[in-house]
Amino acid sequence: MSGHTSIFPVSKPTVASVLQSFGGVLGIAQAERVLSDAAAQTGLTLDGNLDVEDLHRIAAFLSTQPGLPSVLGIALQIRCDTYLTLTKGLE
Amino acid sequence: MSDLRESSERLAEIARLSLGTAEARHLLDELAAAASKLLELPIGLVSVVLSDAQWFAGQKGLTGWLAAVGGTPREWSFCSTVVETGEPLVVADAATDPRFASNLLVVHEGVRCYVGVPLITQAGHVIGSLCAIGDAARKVESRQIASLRQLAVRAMQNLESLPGRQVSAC
Repeated sequence: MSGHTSIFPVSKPTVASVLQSFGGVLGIAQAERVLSDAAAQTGLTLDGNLDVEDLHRIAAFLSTQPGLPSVLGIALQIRCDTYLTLTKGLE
Repeated sequence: MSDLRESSERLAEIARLSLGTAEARHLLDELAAAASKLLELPIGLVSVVLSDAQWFAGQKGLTGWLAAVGGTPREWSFCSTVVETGEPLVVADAATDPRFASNLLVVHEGVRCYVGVPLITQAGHVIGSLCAIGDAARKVESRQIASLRQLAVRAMQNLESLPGRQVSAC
């Protein structure tokens, strides 16, 4: 499927938007810890330069973890997949 | 109860259900198929509403990118309304319903008819919606909604008795 973001607008996940989303569930301090730890586990450093593919890797790691991080990771994966699919098409 | 605490407790309940196991996935796909058949609509879904997205934990009849991604951002979700109200939602013609006429799934993916009922845990958390979706406007009979609700209750009983369910440490 080719990308069709011009007719189907979709917001781009960013570190800031993910922190805001996770912070709404965990509180901002815990959200920063969870995301920083997950980034480190996937060989990344949590900063504003992370792109959607990086966030997808972090989400994939989180989705394998127990408890709240798993469902937060699934939600982030879906948001990243939606953005990547509608802007770049399926690989 | 604060929104933060409610949200955390509901999401923790979803995590404890371990819906990603093969056994749960099989049950959820069967449930989605049963919803599709019951409502005589082409798509059946078990949509689990997360903090920021809806996750199609079970699906029947879904095609294209929505099937590949396995969910959507929460702001596009009809099922989010079911979670927020805890009540069934029937949209006979989304294109003429002011609540949903501008929804991207209506405008770009052709969703027209939606029937969803809440999936409620024993602890009282609404984790998502069992729903059926069609691409044409149509009326839904009250007996069909009642049957869908019964199906959702039985499904939650089955899901909560699966062996993979994690036990709360609390």
